[in-house]
Amino acid sequence: MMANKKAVRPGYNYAFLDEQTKKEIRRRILKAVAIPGYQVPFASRELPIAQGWGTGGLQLTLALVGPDDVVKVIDQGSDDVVNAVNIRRLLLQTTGVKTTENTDAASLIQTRHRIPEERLGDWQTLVFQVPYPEPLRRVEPSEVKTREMHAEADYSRLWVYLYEDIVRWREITVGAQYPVLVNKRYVMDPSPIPRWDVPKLHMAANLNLFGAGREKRIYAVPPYTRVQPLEFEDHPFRVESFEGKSCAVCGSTGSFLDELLDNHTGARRYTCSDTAYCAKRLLSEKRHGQRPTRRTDGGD
Amino acid sequence: MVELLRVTGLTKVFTLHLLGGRTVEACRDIEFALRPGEILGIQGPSGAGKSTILKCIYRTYVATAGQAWYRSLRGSVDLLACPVQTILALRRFEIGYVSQFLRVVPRVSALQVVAEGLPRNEWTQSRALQEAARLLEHLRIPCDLWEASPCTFSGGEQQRVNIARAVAHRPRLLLMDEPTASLDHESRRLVQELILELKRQGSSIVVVSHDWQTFNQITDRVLRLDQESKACVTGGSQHVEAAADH
Amino acid sequence: MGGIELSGLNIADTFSGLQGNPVPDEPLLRVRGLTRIYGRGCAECVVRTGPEAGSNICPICASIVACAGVSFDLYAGEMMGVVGESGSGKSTLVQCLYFDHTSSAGEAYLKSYRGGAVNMLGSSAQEQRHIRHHLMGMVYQNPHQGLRLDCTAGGNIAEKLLTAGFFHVGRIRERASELLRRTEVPMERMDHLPRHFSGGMQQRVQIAKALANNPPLVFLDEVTTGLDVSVQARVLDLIRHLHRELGLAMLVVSHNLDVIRLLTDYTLVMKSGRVVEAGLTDQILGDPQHPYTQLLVSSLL
Repeated sequence: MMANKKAVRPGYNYAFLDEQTKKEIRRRILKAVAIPGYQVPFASRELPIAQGWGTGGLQLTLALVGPDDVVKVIDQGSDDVVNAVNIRRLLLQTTGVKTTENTDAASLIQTRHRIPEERLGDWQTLVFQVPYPEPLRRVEPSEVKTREMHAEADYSRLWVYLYEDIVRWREITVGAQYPVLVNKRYVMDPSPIPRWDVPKLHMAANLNLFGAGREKRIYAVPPYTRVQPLEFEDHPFRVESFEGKSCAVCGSTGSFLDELLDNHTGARRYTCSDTAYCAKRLLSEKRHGQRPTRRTDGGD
Repeated sequence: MVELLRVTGLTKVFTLHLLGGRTVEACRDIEFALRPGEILGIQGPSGAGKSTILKCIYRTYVATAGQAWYRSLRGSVDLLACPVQTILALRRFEIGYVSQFLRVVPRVSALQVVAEGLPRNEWTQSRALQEAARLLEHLRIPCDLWEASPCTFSGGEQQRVNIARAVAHRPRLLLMDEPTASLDHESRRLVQELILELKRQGSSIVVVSHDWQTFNQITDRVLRLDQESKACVTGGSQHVEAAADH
Repeated sequence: MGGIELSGLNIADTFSGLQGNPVPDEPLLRVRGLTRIYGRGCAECVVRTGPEAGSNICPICASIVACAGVSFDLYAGEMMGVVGESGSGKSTLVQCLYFDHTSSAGEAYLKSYRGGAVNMLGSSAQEQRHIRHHLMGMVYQNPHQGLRLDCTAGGNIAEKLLTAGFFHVGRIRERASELLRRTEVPMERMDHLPRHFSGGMQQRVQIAKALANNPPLVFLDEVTTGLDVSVQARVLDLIRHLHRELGLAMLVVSHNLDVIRLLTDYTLVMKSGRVVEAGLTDQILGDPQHPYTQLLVSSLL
């Protein structure tokens, strides 16, 4: 049953892509789920948005979305920025599917560079837009070589990169896109999510799918899969610290904060990067006169 | 008494490929035996093949024919035919060779040169150096020279270092090729005494030399080579002395 | 008489220790019939090339027989030389054994790999990578091949340690500085790029990297070629010293007979991809048998 039949534009196949293409992408997804962290090549299609604007994630979403799904689209944690709005509108106009900003209500979430603060359940699917799927690219320019390195689980050069980072800067300076080892086998690029979000992938209940449209790769972290950030015994992985800072809007101290600079006063302000989460906290505070308990990252 | 070494039919013919395959016979049908604790001299004119015999036994030369049965601690081996691994092990533990001239890496100290003669899995570096120091002292190398390269030494000192290196591991069989050729009277006496000491401790020694003054007193038997026939004669010291009297 | 006293020197003692040092009966590395042919190859390739033919290019199919039918045993703790002119196949030989090149035919067994029962040339790429990183070291003529010149000296050594599962920066740096000390690289150069090092120091870093995981076997491919004479001497001294100290087996490839004489006990002489003579190094130099070896030795300066 379509939620919003009126919104659908005539003349397009359901979810824009033809059925054959969706079938192919679903097959690739199945392979990616079967080999966690392995990059499955696929024939990336042209879409009415430019490559580099989330076509990889969008193709996954289009191949997966069914009439009963509730879809949420976010960009850097926000539902309202132009990229998210346009992708949501495309989905709506080609499927008539129900959309939401509420993480708890969405069965299918397409995201760019963030994982929602609220923990996802096993009935939810998170689709990542990926600019550069190859975690080894920073040490090896040749695709042939990196495939060989993955095949042989030869990650020593990436480790050397991290070692030299520590030698030079006394810590690993990789911020977003922190390389992780999936299921103790493949090193994977989790897309440019902040370090803050990396632990959320570990043993997550939901299915995580990653699509790189320009680079033509699909990979996955299936539910309840080990995801370990690369770390040294004496230099453990750390997430960003917001010690002493809180969201200027909702007062949260347990979420990933964006830093805002006031152009006039030069003052720094911090607000939740996940705007839906922030709004939900604010609403609940107004309703109940108290702040909701945290339901977030893997810390609890 | 069981022989330590028995050489039979030892023949060496060099094939000079660069001269169109010309052959040169260095020695033919050499026969001799060496008993434990014995000193055998090999005597003969220059070019009679004296050094060749030693080098064949030590496997620096490939013998053309013949056998050299050596009774090693692990059984008898034909030194001319056994695998190179065996030769390398025997060189390390049982057989010593003193060449006519000392040839060393110019950057290695005298102490180090002698210490390297000791098998490294038996001797720790510090013990080997101690042992080397003791030997150099016995051979009267002034201790202020020990850290210097033997290349800078006088001929006599060099030869004494050469001998020290060859006997450091107390070989059961010691092959000496003109060990006193470059030495003065005093050094010769020192070498003579060292050889006798090794003999007393059970080493068997084959010496090639022109230097009869030094060796006719200490050799038990002498093997004489004749340039024309390449045949050999054996006998006791007296026998050779008698021959020399003619 | 009686000037020298050898009291305290006891031959019997030394001899009794001997029984504990038997001739090693099982080689560390056993190579049989190693062959590498570049090109499509034909049935006649091996027969129609070699020292007698005076060429390693097959007259029928124009394939290059870089090396063919090479067999030898290398024992633990021993230094073996491979000598021959440029193009004789000596570098191909070690690069096949280090899996830089695949071999066309032949077998190689390493005692420390599955007890020497499995032909490592037929192992999978992962297995070969494991052998390369844990059981072997390699020092190339050209530091570009053995080092990542834009990773620090320490990073180069770390790479080997990280492959062996050493994920502790502090301990990696400890081990790296120990190796650099052994190879006489000043400690303050540890975090510098080898790109800016002298040729001799690059070679010493390469040696340190090769030794990182304490392999029982190290290949040295023309390590001193192209270095100044004085630098060459220092690198050779270092190799001798390490060999004595660590008891490694080494396979030394060189066209320089002096290097071979200085370092090795046993030598293979190669020409046109074949071993023409093998023997004790002093025998190869003192009494060369093959016409080519005689030519080689007579060419010594």
